[in-house]
Amino acid sequence: MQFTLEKSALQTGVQKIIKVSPTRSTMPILNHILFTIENGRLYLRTSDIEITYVLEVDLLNGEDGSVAIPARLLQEITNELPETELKFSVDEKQRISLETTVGTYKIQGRPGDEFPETPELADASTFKLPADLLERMVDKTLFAVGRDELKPALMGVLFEINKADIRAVATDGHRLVRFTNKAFTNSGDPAKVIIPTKFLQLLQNLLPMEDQVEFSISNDHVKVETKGAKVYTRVIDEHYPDYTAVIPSGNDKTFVSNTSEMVNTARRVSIFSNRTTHQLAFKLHPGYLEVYTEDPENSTSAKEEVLVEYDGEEMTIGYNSLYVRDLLRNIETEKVVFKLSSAVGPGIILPEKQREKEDLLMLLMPIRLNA
Amino acid sequence: MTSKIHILPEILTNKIAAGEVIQRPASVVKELMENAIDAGADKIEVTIEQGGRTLIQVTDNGQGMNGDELKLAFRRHATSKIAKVDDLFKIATLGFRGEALASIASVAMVEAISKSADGDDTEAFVLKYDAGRETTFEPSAWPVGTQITIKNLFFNVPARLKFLKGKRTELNHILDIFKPLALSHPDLQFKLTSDQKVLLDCKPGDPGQRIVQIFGREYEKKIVSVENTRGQVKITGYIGNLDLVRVARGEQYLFVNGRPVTDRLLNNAVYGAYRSLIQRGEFPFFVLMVDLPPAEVDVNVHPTKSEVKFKDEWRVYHILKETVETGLRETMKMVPGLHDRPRAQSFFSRPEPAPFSPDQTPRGEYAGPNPNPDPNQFNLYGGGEPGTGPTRFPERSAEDSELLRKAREFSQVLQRNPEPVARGPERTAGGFIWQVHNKYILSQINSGIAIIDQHVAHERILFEEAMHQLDTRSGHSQTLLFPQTVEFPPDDYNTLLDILPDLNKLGFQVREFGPRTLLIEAVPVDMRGGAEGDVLREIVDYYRSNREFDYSPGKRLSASYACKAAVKAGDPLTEEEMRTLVDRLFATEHPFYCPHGRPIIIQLTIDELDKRFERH
Repeated sequence: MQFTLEKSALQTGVQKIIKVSPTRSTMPILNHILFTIENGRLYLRTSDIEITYVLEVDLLNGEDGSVAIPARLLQEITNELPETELKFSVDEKQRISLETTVGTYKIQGRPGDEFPETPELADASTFKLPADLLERMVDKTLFAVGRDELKPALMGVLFEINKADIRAVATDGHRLVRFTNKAFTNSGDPAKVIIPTKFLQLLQNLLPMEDQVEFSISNDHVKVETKGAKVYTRVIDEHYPDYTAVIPSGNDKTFVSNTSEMVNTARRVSIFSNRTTHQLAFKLHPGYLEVYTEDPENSTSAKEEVLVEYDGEEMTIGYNSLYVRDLLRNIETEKVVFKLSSAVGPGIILPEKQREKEDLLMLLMPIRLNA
Repeated sequence: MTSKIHILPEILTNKIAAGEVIQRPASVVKELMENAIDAGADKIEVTIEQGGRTLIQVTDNGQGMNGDELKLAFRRHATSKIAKVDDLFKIATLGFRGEALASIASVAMVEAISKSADGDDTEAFVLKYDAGRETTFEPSAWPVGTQITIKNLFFNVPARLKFLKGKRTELNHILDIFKPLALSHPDLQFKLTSDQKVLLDCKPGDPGQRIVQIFGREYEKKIVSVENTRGQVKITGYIGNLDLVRVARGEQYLFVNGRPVTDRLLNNAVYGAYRSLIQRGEFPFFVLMVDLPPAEVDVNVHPTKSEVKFKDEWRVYHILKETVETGLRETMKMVPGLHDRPRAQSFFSRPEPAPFSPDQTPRGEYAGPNPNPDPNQFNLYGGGEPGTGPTRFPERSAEDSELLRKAREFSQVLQRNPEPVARGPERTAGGFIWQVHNKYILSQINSGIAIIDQHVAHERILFEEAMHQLDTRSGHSQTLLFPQTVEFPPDDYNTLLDILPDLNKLGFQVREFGPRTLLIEAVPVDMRGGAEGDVLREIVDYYRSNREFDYSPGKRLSASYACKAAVKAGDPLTEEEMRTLVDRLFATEHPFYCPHGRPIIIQLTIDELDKRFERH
């Protein structure tokens, strides 16, 4: 097997897909990049079993066949080489000779058929999605996913594809984000799928974001495809909790405040909160909000007041300051709306004004303050 | 016709009494040493041959006896120590029964020589007994004091003789007598010679020095003095740190009014104080003196006087336990401090401003270089700028400075060969902290490397917090978006209902929800994730299966919760989490051992490393 390509084409391709290949693995083949030439086109592939990335790279010429080449070695040599044509020759024992204008390098490869197959998506439903929408859905929700392996369902973002909207939901059991886009339409069947966090992180970094991506969902896999690249992931095959049941409708204690003021206050006050529990207390008065914390363990405390639009009765509610800051960071409007019910019920946090055809809702469970 | 019943001749009764009082050479040593002490001697020499089989000789410089007294001393129930029944209830001397010399004389060859210190009677006398019969009584030459020489013990009692063990064993028994007496009288000089070799030579000193004289130099750094007075009960002495914990009994010394005693209840008071630090079958070192008015304690319970009876034993128990607990708190904090005293800072000297100390610095004014460097905390950076390390827990500063004073005193008095200061590379920020195999936290400290087991470290933190929260009901709860219903088997469910109020104090919000089902609405803020129902199940399991522990239900629950809610081996931690964990660990009362007695921290000193690398 022989093939030739531009160094820069290979370098760019390797940089993209190497992020999937695991740094340590019990399967040595996964530390390789699979080169496959089919009908004169070259595809690079990496996999960590859960996720598989296939990328087409421009080929100058070559004959069909496949070989797996050590990933780190390729990355390092392409980074060091000057702009040149790369000529790969592979013998029947997968000994690779790489010829360039500056010299020749020998690498031991592995047979291409050792590499895991790309997943088959049987009975997949497929739809098109604007790339910037996908990016926004991931950005708005990913921070709230769970990290607890004992609750696998929460370790990903729930995607709900309906006829007239698309929705992404993430929760770790203490807070929840629901993002809905109503500009989306889908002629196919509605679908629901939990997509693992790691895949969505990769999407943020890896995909060449064309104007449209193709989304395919089967029972056990999701594929996202753009021009020249396909990324597959196994989905989380778990029952997602019924989040609709926990979104309250009767929260009538509403206050509105300046978003950046709230963010700054929360950041300053939380410096003095307990480093493990991170708790903040909100004491709501007509016209202003006291944000305070106390950490008896370290003898620190802090208190600030923020002007808010509120005319209800006084109430005090505790929150984890990390959660508050995460949620507020997600608010893009000048003002933020809090809708509360009681010191133990879920609070709703909203942007003052939703974007057109969009609905962003966040829920935060309080910390019950004893003593 | 002769009467069938007759009074036994004294020689026989003495022999019978000897069977009770004199069981082996060590018994003789005990009686003679006690007599010497009671005689007011300040120098007592014990000489032994063949484990005491052939020779036991005790020489003192006490008040001595004149000729008449000497003769009388060998009669049964002859004593100078009590005179009337009332005296029996306020005994302040070691001996008092008046049995010893007569008993010994009946089963050995005895030579006593003495000269009285008082009166005009300036002559010394020597008195010899052979198997209970007086053979010699004559004037002799001798300085003030008494020497009693016992030869061929049990030579006329073959049954006893046969049961004597080898000379090493008998010598050990003698040491078991000698050591406590020497320990309880550090102001007297004691010398023990066996087969012409001086085994122990204890010069007069303080109790701490006496411990070192008897047990060796290494004890010097490993003991801490304790002192406590409650009403008329006074407790003083020394307790050993965890280096001196042994798997066999033997180094536990308890004295009541100067008398060595074995008292299971009081020993248990001490073990109880160590409870969370040692495991079953491990015994800490202690030398403790309980002093109380003689009328509060009855020593006439047992012929060898090794047991005593208190009027109010539980009161003594609690005072003793409290004393040791207080002492331990300080030992534990001092262990690392001894190794890295020179630059005392927070475990992590992060270059952040020192928090103000409310009682020292007016609000808004920077506290300046840490006024109370705390040697109780590891310093992760070899050097570091003084003053960059914040004093943690400034609200404890008074207590800390007291601790600091004691720690310094401790190290100065006892650490006679100062260790060279091990200094790592200069570090001002960041610092070394790694997680190894998602299991251990590895860190550089002044004296080398500290390795911390993340699970037991967190367990210790949660345990103490839980104990505190049970008292104060201050556990905060993170409410759950998706409350969990969990069904339990009936017995688990009943146990849970029992501990429900306490669970809620810890920060769980759990309530009954139908038959055998609980609804979990919130969990402690501090709880590491996990399926809430499973955590509760595990807590119940653990709580039930550890019933045999002497823990109070609250302690057991706290231990169960701590074990199940703590980070596990295998949980990856961020750097921030590790630092927080370590800082909080050092804020606990017992940062070195987990509630079940497993070690939390292992130190690998530079010295040890150097040794391993054969770098001498």
